[in-house]
Amino acid sequence: MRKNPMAWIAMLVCGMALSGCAQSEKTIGTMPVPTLLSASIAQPTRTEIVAGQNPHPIYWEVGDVIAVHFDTDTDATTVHWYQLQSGAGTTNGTFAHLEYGGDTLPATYNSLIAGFSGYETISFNENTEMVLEARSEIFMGLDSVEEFPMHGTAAAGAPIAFRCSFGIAHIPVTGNNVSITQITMDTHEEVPVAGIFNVNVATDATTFVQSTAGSAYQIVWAGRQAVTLTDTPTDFYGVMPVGTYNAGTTLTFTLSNGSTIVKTAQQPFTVSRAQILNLPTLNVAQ
Amino acid sequence: MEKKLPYEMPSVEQIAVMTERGLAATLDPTGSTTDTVSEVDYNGSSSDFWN
Repeated sequence: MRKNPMAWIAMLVCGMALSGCAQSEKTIGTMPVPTLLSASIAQPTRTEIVAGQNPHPIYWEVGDVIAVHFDTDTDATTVHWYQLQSGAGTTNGTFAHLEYGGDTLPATYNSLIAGFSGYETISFNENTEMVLEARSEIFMGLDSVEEFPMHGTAAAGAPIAFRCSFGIAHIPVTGNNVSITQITMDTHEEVPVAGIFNVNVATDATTFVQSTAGSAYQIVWAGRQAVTLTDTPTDFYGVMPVGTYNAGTTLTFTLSNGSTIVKTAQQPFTVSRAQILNLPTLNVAQ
Repeated sequence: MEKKLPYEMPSVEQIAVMTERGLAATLDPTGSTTDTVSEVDYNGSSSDFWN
């Protein structure tokens, strides 16, 4: 009979507690298994790119989830989720299997491929590709970048070596006390930047598959509250697929009063894997 | 008369073995390492790049 081992252990502990408290306490009976399960799977997923260093290490954070596919999985698209168990705040983590819906692991394996974030990893394709949904988002501040996509491989028993799948465009923005509520980067149907991508785990090549919600050609920063731009640059980071973006890419700034200011790149720029491209400072003037 | 437990409780040694097996079944024995992110400056001025 297959059972959740944590539930089984909890049953044993409860059993011991019941017998140890004598039989007069008959009101004890509810087992804490559902609470334990929900607490372990409801964590947000986030991994930190550490600022102030170059190159920037990437640290695992509490709650991180990776998706794993074993070469012995009978279905070529099967995803197993593992959650960080130890190693938060370091580059090395150990992950524990999450038994969502009675997910079962193959008995043995020769190799595996993996994706981060696990929640953004939709499926796998054979043993060569990770299928992920890219976050269509611009972040304010490097330390706010969430779920920077990574893919990894490992032979049986070896640590998973994760590699960044995408790159980042860094846009320092100044302004004469301009208050903004949104920034939209638009590649104008030339280079897809949002939606579902295949990542070849051997070559690092990314291939756009299809859009999901919203435009495949836009990424957006939408602040929870307005940000006032000053002479000191405010740093925005766009997570973008690897590629060359042509002149004509625009940034549209939505101001607090509802008006917009559009800035256009006059030159092409290239975003590379595992790299932050520091673009020239952009001044937003009314 | 000896008081009977409501069920046959496993010994501490049995629980230890069961716990070890249960956790071992849920743990990935592998660790993981991560890539780093480097920085590169775009070679151009703001006035030439943005309009």
